[in-house]
Amino acid sequence: MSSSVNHSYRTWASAVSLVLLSLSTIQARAEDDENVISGAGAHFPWVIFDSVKDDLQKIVSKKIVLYGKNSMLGQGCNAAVKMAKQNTVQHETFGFVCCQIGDEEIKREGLTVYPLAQEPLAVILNKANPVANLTGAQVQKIFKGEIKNWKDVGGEDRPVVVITRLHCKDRVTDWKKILPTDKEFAQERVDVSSDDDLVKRVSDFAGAIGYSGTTWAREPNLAIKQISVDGVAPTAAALKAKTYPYYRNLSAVTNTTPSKDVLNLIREVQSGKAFRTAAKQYELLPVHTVEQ
Amino acid sequence: MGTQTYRSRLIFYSSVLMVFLIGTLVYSYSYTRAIILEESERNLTHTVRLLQSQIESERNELLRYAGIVSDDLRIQEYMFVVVRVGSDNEPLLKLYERLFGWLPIDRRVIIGEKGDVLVGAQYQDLAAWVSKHRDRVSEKVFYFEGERGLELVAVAPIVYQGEQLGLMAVSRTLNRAWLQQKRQNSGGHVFIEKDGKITISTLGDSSRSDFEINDGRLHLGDDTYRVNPMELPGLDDSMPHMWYGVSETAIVQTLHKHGQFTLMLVVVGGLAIFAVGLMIFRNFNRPLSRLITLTEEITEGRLPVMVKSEAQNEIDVLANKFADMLQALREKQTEIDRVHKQLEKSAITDTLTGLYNRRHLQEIFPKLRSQAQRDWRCLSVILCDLDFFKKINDQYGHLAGDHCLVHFSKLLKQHSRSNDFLYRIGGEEFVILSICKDTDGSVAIADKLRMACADSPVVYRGKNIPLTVSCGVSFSTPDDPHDTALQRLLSRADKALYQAKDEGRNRVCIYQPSADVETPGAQQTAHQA
Repeated sequence: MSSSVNHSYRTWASAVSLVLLSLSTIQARAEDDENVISGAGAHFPWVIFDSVKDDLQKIVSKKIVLYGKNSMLGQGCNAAVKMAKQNTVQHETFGFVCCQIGDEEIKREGLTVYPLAQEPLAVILNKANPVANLTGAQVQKIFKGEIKNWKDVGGEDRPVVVITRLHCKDRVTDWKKILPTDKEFAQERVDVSSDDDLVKRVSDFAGAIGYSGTTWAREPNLAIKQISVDGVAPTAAALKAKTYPYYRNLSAVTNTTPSKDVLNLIREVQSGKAFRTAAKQYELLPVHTVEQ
Repeated sequence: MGTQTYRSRLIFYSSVLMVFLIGTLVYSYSYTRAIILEESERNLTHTVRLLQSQIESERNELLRYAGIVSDDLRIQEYMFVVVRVGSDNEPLLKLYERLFGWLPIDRRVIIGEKGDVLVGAQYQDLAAWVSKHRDRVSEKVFYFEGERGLELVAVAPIVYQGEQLGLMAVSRTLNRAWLQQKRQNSGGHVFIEKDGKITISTLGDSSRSDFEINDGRLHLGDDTYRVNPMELPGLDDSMPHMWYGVSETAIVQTLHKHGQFTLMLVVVGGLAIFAVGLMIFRNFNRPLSRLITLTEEITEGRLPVMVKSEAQNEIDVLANKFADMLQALREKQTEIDRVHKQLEKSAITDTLTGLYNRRHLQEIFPKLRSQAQRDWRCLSVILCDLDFFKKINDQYGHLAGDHCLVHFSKLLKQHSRSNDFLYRIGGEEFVILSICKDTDGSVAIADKLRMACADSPVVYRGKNIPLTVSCGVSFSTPDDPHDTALQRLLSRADKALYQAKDEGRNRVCIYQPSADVETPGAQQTAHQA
């Protein structure tokens, strides 16, 4: 009789232990999720967040996981919107975009946009190309295909190879600063799907011309260079002075109910010390506005 | 006749066995040879199909490689830049090497839409050919004969944004290493031939050798190869042709070895059959022939000696039994001879004295008479009769009389000559028959016998019995044909004996023809002691 009671007791104790263990595992996972803030989006704001990630983690006391280094398909601005919409109390998320999200999209997707900085859109050439400056008109003519040889703009007798990445066509985006619509670009061009491909093409062809953010332009192993437009180099100072024509707006996005930690994190990127260092490094012009 | 039949049958059976053996082995050899040749032909055809299939796979593989390159977006973009924008092709070359330098092909070229060589300028022959034939791109895979020999070339168009910018061509050289790889484990050889010469082959020193096919066979030095052409799509008549061949010499050598083995089996089998036949002949025919010969000799009245042997089989047992039977017959024959001689002797011998009897006298006399006539000599008959023998029987008994007869016969033997024939022809009458030159010898013998008898009385049971004999002697001369009859001689001797009895006994009287009644004028002579 006593043995039977002991056996029953042990069985119940084991079952309770298993339940507690399972609950503790679920709880731990939930706590893990609660202690992580995930972010995804375009490459260029990713560079900013990544460079200040350590400081941000100290501020919010949470682990920050970022996706978007290469801006490949499945990431980029669309990925940023998608990630932002996934934000919950248990799993905090946000996105970062390199294009300007329109009001209609903001309303439709239920987003909140937080401008971070303006990034100069550098016109890049192959290092072998002696041309160091173009006028805005020359840049437009080259991308239109009206200028087909570098000798026409003071360069060597070498055909112009136009490399473009016409992304986010439905948004207000960087390349539209050069030519408003894709139809205006030269027919004989190479249209690539990522900035990674774009800078590599420019690096491979001596006569190539393309455009990219200043963060990409700083890749050391590529044979590319930034040139001045109308004698103005793509710098934060030039953007501030509004003397350089091409740029893009880097922003963070959340859904309509971001957590306090996410807001603190974005606010730190907008105006914090760590971000200012990074902005200086990448020629970014910070935008000190919390909400658009 | 039986032996011959048996031997003939043995030879016949052995021959049938030999013919069966040879037939079986020849059929086996022919059948095996046909199978080997048929399998060789089938293997040849199968291997050719296999190689064709491998080459087809290789064509597809090359096409796939060409497709991998031509479908790559980066290659297409760079092609666009080079072809349409007019940029230099160095980036394209570098990109290709970076992305596809690992492809297991021998040569590659990229041709622009105008036929200009963008990649692979060092392969001028291939590039020129692809450029020249770029309108045949729909065929996709070609055979090309260039500096490196025959090559398999796969071509794929490079299209960017819906426009064909050029061609990508990859090739694999069909060199000896490639041929070796194809023929691996096949057991045969691959030949590439053009204009009746071998350009490349997997054989060591066959390059530039004449390639002449006779009845599906290629002769190279001491070797002959059974060859089949490989039907490769796209390989036109102006191109070298590919053949696959299997050394028929090796097959022939195999068949030759098989034939030698079959011949050896025939010889060994023939020898075995011959040995078995010989053994049967030796173990059966020879003993049977010997028995037959012996039986014939026995039938002819002879009883030859047959040596017995160690019995190892039934035939030996039969022969030994036969020898035993022969020995028994021989012993029986000896016994019969002995009995026959005994009977014969009994028939011509007096049982009491051991002297010949009257039958022998009648038998031998014609021979002696012929001999005497042939030798021109005389025949003498001495007729002896014991005196008063009846008195001896009466006085001393018949046993004493017999003793006297035996005693006298001994005297007769002692005092006669070796060529004299001695007879007891009656109770106490004895005859000495002999061939002599004259009458004196016989008379002397008779007288000597008379005296010996008179001088040696018979001793019987301690008593001396006096014994005398009377003798009558007669002769026949060779010149007297009437004196040759035995009866006449005996009659004459008997007359002379009666004369001796009449004259007082114990004497010898000679028949004198003058005293004979039948022969008047004959004189009788008496000798008395």
